[in-house]
Amino acid sequence: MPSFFRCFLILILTGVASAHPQDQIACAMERDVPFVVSHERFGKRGSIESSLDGQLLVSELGCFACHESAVTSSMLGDGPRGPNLDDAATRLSPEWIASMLASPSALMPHTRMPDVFATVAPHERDREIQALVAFLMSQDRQYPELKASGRYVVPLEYWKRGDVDRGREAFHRVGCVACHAPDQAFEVQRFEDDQRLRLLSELDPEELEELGLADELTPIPSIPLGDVKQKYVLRSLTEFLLRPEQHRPSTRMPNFSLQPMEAADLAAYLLAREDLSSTTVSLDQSTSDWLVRPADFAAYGREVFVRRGCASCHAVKGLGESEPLVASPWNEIDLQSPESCIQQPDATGRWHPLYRLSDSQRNAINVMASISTSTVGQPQAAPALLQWNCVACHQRHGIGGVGVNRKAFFETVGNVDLGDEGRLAPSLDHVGAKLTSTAIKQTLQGKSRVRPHMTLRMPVFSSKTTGLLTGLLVSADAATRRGMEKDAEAHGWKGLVRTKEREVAAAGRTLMNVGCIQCHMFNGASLPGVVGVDLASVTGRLHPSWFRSFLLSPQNWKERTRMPSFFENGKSQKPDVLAGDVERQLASMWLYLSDIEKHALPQKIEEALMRDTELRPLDRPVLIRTFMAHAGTRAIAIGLPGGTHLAYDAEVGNLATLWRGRFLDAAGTWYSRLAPPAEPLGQNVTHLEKMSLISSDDVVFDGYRIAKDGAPEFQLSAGGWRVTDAYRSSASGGIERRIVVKGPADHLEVPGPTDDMPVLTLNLLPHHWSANQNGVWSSEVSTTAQVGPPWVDVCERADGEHGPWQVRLSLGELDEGYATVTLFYEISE
Amino acid sequence: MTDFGMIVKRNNHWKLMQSMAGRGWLATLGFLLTMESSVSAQTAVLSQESDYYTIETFAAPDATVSSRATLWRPNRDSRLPDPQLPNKKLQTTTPDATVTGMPDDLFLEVSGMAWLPDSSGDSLAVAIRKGEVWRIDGAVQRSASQAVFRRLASGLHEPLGLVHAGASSENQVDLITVQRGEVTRLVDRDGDGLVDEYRTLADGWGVTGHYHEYAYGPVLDQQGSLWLSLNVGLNLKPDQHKHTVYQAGLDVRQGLWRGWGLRLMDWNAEHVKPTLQPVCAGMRSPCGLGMNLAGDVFYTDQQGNWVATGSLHHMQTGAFFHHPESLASMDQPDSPIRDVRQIPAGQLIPEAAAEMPAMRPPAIWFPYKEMGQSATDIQVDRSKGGFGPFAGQLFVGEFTQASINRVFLERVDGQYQGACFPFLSGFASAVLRLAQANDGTMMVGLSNRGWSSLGSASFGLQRIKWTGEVPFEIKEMRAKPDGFELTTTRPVAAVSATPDAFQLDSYTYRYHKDYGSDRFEVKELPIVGVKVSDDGRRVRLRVDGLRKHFVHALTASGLRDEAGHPLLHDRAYYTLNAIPSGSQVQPSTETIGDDKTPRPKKEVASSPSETR
Repeated sequence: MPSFFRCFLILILTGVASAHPQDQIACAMERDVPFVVSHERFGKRGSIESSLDGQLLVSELGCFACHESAVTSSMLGDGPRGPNLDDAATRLSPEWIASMLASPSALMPHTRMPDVFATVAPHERDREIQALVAFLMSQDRQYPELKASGRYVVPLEYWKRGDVDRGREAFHRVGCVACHAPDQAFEVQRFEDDQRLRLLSELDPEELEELGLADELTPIPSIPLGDVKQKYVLRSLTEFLLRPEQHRPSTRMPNFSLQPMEAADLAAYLLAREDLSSTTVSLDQSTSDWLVRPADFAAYGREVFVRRGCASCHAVKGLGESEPLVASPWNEIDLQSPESCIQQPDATGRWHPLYRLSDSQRNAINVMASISTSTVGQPQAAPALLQWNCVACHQRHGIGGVGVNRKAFFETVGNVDLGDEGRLAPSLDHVGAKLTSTAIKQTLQGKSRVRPHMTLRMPVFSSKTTGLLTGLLVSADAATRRGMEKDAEAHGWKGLVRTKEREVAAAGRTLMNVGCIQCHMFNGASLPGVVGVDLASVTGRLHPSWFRSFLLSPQNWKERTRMPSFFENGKSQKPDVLAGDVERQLASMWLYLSDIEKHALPQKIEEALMRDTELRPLDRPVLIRTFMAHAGTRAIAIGLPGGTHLAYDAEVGNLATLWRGRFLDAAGTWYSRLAPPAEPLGQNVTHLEKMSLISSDDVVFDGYRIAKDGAPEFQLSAGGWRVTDAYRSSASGGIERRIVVKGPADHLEVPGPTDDMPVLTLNLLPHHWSANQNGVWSSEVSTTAQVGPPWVDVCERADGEHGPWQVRLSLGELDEGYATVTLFYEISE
Repeated sequence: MTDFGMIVKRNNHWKLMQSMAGRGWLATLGFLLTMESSVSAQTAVLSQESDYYTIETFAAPDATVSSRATLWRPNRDSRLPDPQLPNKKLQTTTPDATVTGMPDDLFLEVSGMAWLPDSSGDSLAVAIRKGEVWRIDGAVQRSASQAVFRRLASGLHEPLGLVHAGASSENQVDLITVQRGEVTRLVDRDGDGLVDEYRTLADGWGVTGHYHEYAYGPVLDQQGSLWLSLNVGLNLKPDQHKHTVYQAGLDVRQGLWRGWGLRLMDWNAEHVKPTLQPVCAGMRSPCGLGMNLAGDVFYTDQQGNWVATGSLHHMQTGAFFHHPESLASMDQPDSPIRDVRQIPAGQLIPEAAAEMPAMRPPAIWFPYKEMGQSATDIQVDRSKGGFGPFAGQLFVGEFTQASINRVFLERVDGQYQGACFPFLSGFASAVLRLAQANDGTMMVGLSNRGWSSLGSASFGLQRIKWTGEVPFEIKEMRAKPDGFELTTTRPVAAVSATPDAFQLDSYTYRYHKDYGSDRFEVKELPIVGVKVSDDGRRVRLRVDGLRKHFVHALTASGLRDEAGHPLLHDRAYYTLNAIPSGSQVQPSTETIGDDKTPRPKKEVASSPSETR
């Protein structure tokens, strides 16, 4: 066992040590050999068929750009061409262009750009390069203006504002290192903790090979970044990262939907990264002198651009109806001939651009060429995934996935342990049976981010690529999907998911508590610390038949998933729900999730959500101003320790609502942008009529005071009268409301007939009281009124039998100008 | 010269050379040789904002949920220990206790700040969006773990401003805030340091319950009046209409005084009822209020319907700014605006302003993107130098880009107008509130919940301290009859001040109900003459074709100080509502004085050749 372990260690160490891009590739290949990732990762090791390897090489090297062939159809459209050069003068320096033309691989090791001048005499070559530079320096285009919005932040000269540290963090987290070499100095938590890898490390290479796991444990090669600093400045690199497809219409480098500042951060980081600059090549500094050449020199350059085949791969302005490079059709090429682009030419041979391929690359192309075009067939999903390097992150049928030397970089946001499922891109096995074609499309177009808990991001692809890939994946998994659908149909699934019975969806809600809530989110809500795919999204994305099959046996469809089966041996763990009927239970979960907006969140999540925002008046009153449906937009909710609570309407100036039990959840008021009205959490919610406490036209709400015991004392005034309206829990758990009235001070000093004295009338709510000598009652609220001094007329009804009960206070009858009205409210259980 | 010494010290070459000295003369020689050739490329890197102003973080925990999440919840600082322990959960246990170190459940979504009378000068009252007011002793000088906290008030409805009402006693709280539905005085009646009276000073404006109806303020002016501003609601639903007023002529409906700036008077008098007086209308999202040293009150608006881009306005009686739905309250008895019969929709600003006499274009447009995407608070630099060379200028918060811009104002034809400049970026979240301490330190309150911003946090409190170094900046940009005059913080190198050193673009916006406006009639104006004053601190630009009501966007990328350094920020955006009249002159060499009154100037002939 110790020896196995050592073997593993060596493996890993090579992976880590070779992170330096130049080192890593240098040890494997000469710098002038072009880098095609499918070949370096899979073809060279024999993990894919040589013919497929060859097809991919031919596609990715862009052979068909010059050589016509029917074979094109086996691949997804065109192979990648070179970058657009219609903005060459904007983003490239003449020195860089000249050096690149003179020796592409010296400047950009492993570039797929061929050596165009390999067989051209030096004197002619220099003249032509000068002309090309002059021509390209006429290719000028402004960088496009970015349109800012509240969600898309475009600061002034954003490309200058990047932050190296933020860029480093993003580079290693969002997905760049799935393809490109990480910075050795970047510290990550290595995968010592990965149980499975530890077990596998105990196997020797032969055993791994036999188990078909060698690919998984082989460090993946890095797509070279080239000498970033020689080629780019902050602006050009930032703009490229923002929209790679604008500069390279067929690039395999995807668009990561970066915010301008994120792109600027990455650019700042890449340009500051020391291992990305070559010390061996210096640019041809004499180039700037050439630019003073006469204008017709650029015209000559334009002619060279066509004659040397540059136009086959690079788009420029003003080429018009260019003559394409005359090259032999693909099936007429003799790959062994010195006249072939992949062979070292002899001095007498006809001119051609030179691809300095490795032996293994040449072999693969030979194998591919030896197969007749008719057998190559229609485009397939597997080649497409290799062609677009989806396999850099995703595995399908055992091919691909984030490399063993890269896994550690990807984490769950907040470092929650969810296993690989929570931090690495999902497997694409059966994906065409799992996701609807719309969902696949939306995912590829960046419109469906269902795993925001990963630092890794799904990039965005063009609508053309999206359409092609979607079609391939759907048809590749069509058989699996049909099987699942038949199975579901056989179990009456169609009828089950169409039921309109509310209890069924309610049962689905209950079933979420079995286990779903432990790992999943629901409409953005989850138990504390839980992150995972939001289940509110699944019915919009998944085929129902997949949902059913997957829930019945997750392990069947997803290797090593942490998702347990809740229907072991076809039996439900909840026999009390829907009579334990597995099919009905499955359907109920689908129904609940598809209509989750209309139902409550799973109960435990609801409770967890409120833990920090539910207001609990344990030993003191709690007050919160908010919007409420009945108490209005100037509501003041008061929670009282006795368990009966109230809402006061400051606009009207009176008590508005009463309820018992739990008080109120402040979440909406505290944290929601939409400021929804707060709702009483308790029972027996009783709304009173909207009517000011003081029956007067000029009632003013003066605010409130907080008594020593925390009780709110609302202040009202009208025509010199001042009313204090205080609320406390009564001894019986109801509410004691104490209204203290103070008459206008200036009238007290003036003796006069009682009739002329000011009168204040209080409206006592609710309306529907019946009175007897002990007090008054309503149907909903038992209310008792005590009014003092005792000579005051109590409870007249203002408008016959329909108006509010009122207390009429005449200043002349008050003791020192004061009166007190005490009301007791009790809500029956 | 001190200037030169400063530059060398700031210059990273200097540090490099010192470190190289230890490595041998050859390396140093090599470096000096490369330095010569790369000086132009290097200078841009050498000078950065942080050399002059440092941003210190008092509290700004990294956000873990999107600021726009429906179920947004505040998160504590994950770098603090023991996230699971229910340690300092003050609000649910002992809500009024005074504690050292920030309580775990205090989330500083700062929505208002006011200095409390305290001999230390470091006692800050902070309103937070969920509706509380906290006292923080040590916010300027200490860290969050050393500062002392006490919750003064709670249960408020989204307070979006805070001022001290003026009680002189050290321990007695007397603050005023604006809640969604009222102006509230927070009073400590019994002297225990906590608010026990929430006195309603004014209310009655329309509150339909729409979330967008924020209420901002107050600002306390030199006459003792309180100023506030009210957002308009958006797309009100029928059940919200009962809280609205309707103006049939213009067919506009809003809550009463929505989209208005109001002034509250007599709020402090014993037996007088406070008066709430509507002052000016046409606001959309007036998120920030502030006063300049002269005592004039300004507000900022944010891009949206009818509002082309962020803007700064002088709140004058009877002025109408942009959002016409505010005119729903035009026929109310107290309205100072009457008889607007038509809204000039769809026209360019100069035409709209000509057609509608009540319309007062902003003193400053903040061009979208370049000068931010959502202007917020206004804070005048009253430090007299404690905050650098910009004494008396306005600093304006920026939400989306988490930054702060700077504003210079002058009066032309009696109205304020002027220029804005980038000042400082890189805050941890949306800059919502600013408050300057006695020592010049600028406290920066952050919160981006509900919207988006740059920065790693969703809320927090940071502070800006001036390092004592003077950045090379355009300090002022004044309109002249035939161009502009720049004042710089350091003398410029006269040789660098050629017409080629500048680019001046001008454009205007469209006044329409669409969200924001593109730039229209964009034109580069030729700079036909440049002259530098003898002291090197004033640069006069002669420009052909100044356009009234246009933004004049200046880029001064070629301008250098005497040591050859470029400007820290080479942009300035002048909102030219009025072109000053007077003789067309080149700058004289007199010393810079108060430019409010025109000075006699000699006529000097100028031509482009003269300035080269």
